[in-house]
Amino acid sequence: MSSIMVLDDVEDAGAMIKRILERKGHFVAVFTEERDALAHVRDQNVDIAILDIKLKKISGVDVLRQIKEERPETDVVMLTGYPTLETAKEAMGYGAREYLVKPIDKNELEEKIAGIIESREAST
Amino acid sequence: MSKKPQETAAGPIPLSRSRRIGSQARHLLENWFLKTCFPGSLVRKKYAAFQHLRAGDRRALELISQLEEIRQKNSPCDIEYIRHVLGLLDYEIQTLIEALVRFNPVKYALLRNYHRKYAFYAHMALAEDDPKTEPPFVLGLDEELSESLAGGKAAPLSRLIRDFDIPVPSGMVMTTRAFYRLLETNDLTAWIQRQLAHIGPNNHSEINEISQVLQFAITETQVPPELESEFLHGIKRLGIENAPLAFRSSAVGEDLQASFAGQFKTCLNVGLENWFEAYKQVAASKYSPHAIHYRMRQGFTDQMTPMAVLIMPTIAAKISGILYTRDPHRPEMAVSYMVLGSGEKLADGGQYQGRADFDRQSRRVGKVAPRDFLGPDLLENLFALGIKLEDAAGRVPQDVEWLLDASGELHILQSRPLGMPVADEPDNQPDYPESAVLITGQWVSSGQTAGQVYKLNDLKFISDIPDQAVLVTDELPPELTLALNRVRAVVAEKGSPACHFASVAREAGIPVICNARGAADTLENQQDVSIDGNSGKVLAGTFFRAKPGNTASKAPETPVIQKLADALKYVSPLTLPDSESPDFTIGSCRSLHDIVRYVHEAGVREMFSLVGRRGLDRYGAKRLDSGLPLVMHVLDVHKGLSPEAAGQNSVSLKHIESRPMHQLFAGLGSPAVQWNSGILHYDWDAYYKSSADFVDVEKSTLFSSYGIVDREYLHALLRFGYHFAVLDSVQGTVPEQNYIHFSFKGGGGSPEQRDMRIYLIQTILEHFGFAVHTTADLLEAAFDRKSMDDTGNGLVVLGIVLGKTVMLDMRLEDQQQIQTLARQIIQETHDIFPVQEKR
Repeated sequence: MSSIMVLDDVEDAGAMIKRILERKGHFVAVFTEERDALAHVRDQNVDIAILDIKLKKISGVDVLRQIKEERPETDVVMLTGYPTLETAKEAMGYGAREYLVKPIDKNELEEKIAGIIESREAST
Repeated sequence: MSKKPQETAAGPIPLSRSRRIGSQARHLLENWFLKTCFPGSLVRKKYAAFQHLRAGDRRALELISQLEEIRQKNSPCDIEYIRHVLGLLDYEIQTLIEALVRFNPVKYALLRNYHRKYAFYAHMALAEDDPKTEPPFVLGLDEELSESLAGGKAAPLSRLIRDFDIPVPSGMVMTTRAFYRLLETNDLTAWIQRQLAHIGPNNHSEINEISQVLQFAITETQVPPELESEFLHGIKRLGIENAPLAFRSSAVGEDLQASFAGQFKTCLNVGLENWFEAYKQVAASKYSPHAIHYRMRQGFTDQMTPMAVLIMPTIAAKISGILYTRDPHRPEMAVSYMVLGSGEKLADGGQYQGRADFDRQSRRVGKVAPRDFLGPDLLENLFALGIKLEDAAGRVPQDVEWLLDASGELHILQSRPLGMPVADEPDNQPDYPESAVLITGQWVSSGQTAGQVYKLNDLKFISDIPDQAVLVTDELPPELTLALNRVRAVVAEKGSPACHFASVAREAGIPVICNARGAADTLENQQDVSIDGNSGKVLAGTFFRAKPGNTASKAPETPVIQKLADALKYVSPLTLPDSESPDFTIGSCRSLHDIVRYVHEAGVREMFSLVGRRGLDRYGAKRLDSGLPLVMHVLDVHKGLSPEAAGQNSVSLKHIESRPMHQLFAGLGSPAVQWNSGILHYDWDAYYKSSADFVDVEKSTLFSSYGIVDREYLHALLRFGYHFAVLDSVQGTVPEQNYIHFSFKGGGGSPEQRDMRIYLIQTILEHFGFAVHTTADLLEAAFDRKSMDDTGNGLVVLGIVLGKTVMLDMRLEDQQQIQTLARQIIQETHDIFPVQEKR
């Protein structure tokens, strides 16, 4: 079981991710505010953070940078509905692990998360 | 259709899309208005949208096939070209989606999101990091250098100086970042990418032109001040302000993973005032025709091989040479080839003047010719250095460039791993009679092959060399690399095994012979010869299996092909279930191909249910009773059926007024085609998968073939059992507008059976003048711009061919059987319809 955090200010998407991943036995917390999300990453041992790029107040890429600064062992998946290569390269440059483009597909989400967990287990 | 869960997965529509919602509402209102008040104009509007769909669908599938073909054949092309094709595909799909959205703005809008998603994943798979343009721009050879910064020549040299105390001249390197800073300052980075996007797999002849444009642009650049100041600082630090300078390439990838030997320019004796010109010339040679060609053959992207430039004082050479620490031809020996003065001529494929052997076991100098070319002490020192270099590289045999200066000091200019050929044929006793030997030359690259002679008299005709030729030349200049993917072997009158071309040929496994005196006079063009690269012999006749010269298809996947393969995961797979399945939804699309197929099927469905079930009488499809065991429906969009057909649910051939439909059935129903009336043809595969037991397959449109017709137009989808053919034709009075486009995708059977069936159809159609193109198991044929009668005949032929080949239940065994069968079908077609053959 992994601890997964989702930050998305569109609640529907967060709820859907939570539903899919909880069925796989993970612990999933969903946030709409980046302050709460960062506090959760700090306090709990979050393995994987899923961040929407387009948040109302701040860019998901900035949240990624903060997470990577404070807790680099967290794997980060960027989530977006309107992907661009520039943002993707930027996010990958700051250490994002995966890119997930909406509409969210159940199999794809499960596969990407399973892939991350597998390589985390292999590296420990 | 009810909304599927996947289709709601995106969540609420973001506000930024409000404008699109407005346009959707307009579309919706307009559709409702037309449907209610002017059903006829709605049909026409949808028909026009459908025409858009058809054209876009064909283009999109062609682009997908093009990408798949590059991957399958491992075709050398620039990654920018692949990105460009993917961009075109993107555009086509976007257009397709917009055409479909005109049918039903709400139902299909979500396709845009799925398209965006998979297009992004595909582009992402092809993406590379942006080039770095920050300092350092200049580094000393005495510093620890990485290949990514200093390139494949300078980085190993710095290691030899620092760790192994090898006598390498002092020097410095303008880094790969300096190169990218130069491009960035002069606004060339994106421009170069656009130029490279022109280099596809089939237009290598354009490389020359593109190369000229690129090189010219680089030599016209202005020097960024920060580059100049770092350069001058570096020269001062080394104290070589007054020395004549040598500028050499040090590209990433050069001399390590693949031998870019001799692909780049060198400038010698450069004065300080001309440094930038010399730098630009060497940097620009990254885009010389043979360097571009070679890079593509190796499957590197432009960005994977950035250019650094190595700068050293030019040392006046008394003698220069190449040392192979292990003679590829005689592994127990080391060998050095030498010339007086500078070594350029030797590397460019010219003659050597001296040669010395060295026994690796006894560590003794062997034969030296001429005897006093280089003294025994110096030779011993040279070989000792060679062994030291080999040890430094982890006992890997080395290809070493060296020189002797006026004061008698040896200098090492370069040392790189020597590509050792693995002899794939045992080098035993020759299995040919001595009398067959036409010419005996000298080994350059091993291997045995056979083929036809092509004599190259002038390098400017290099693009005329026919495929799979045995090339006969005067020397072995680096430009020959351009032809390396086409030739089976090379025989040169002069040249030497020590040149750059030799390294590249050995790496590619192409047999090469040099010093084949009299080859040009003795050998005739198109003469059949055999080449024994191992012993340097040219033989009359064919003694060896002709191995194709181009090893690209056998080569392991290159980095570019790997990237393409990753991208294709989001382009190629067809995972969408059958169109009647409840899972045939937008949310089930997993690739761009799925989206194209969804759009096509949805478009066809929209055409078949133009005004809904209630309107079927007036605008719907009618069952065609053709007298053949083929379930088919016809949708008339404009005068394709006679007025008597109005109001009827089924029609017969006498109602058909569509010219192309008539001709097709003249072929399908001709006496040449023996229909088995016990078998009814519809889409069996789809039927069985759908488990739609309740459906009457004879009446339903679900699995039937269909034709959309007007007086001069036919769009037919033919479902014969497990096969699937699409035919699209205009047959009118204006020849320029007439065409037959036909595509066939082999259904059941093993891949070999499908290939043979496609080959059979291709053979027959080509006989009757169709232009046929096949990719994997897709056959596409075109018969364009012919008169009304000729187009009609083409359709008859197509009908016969379809009837005779598609339903063929005979097992196809081999090419010979196919040839026989093709001749038979062609003859029968001629007997029944005396149609014109290809002129």
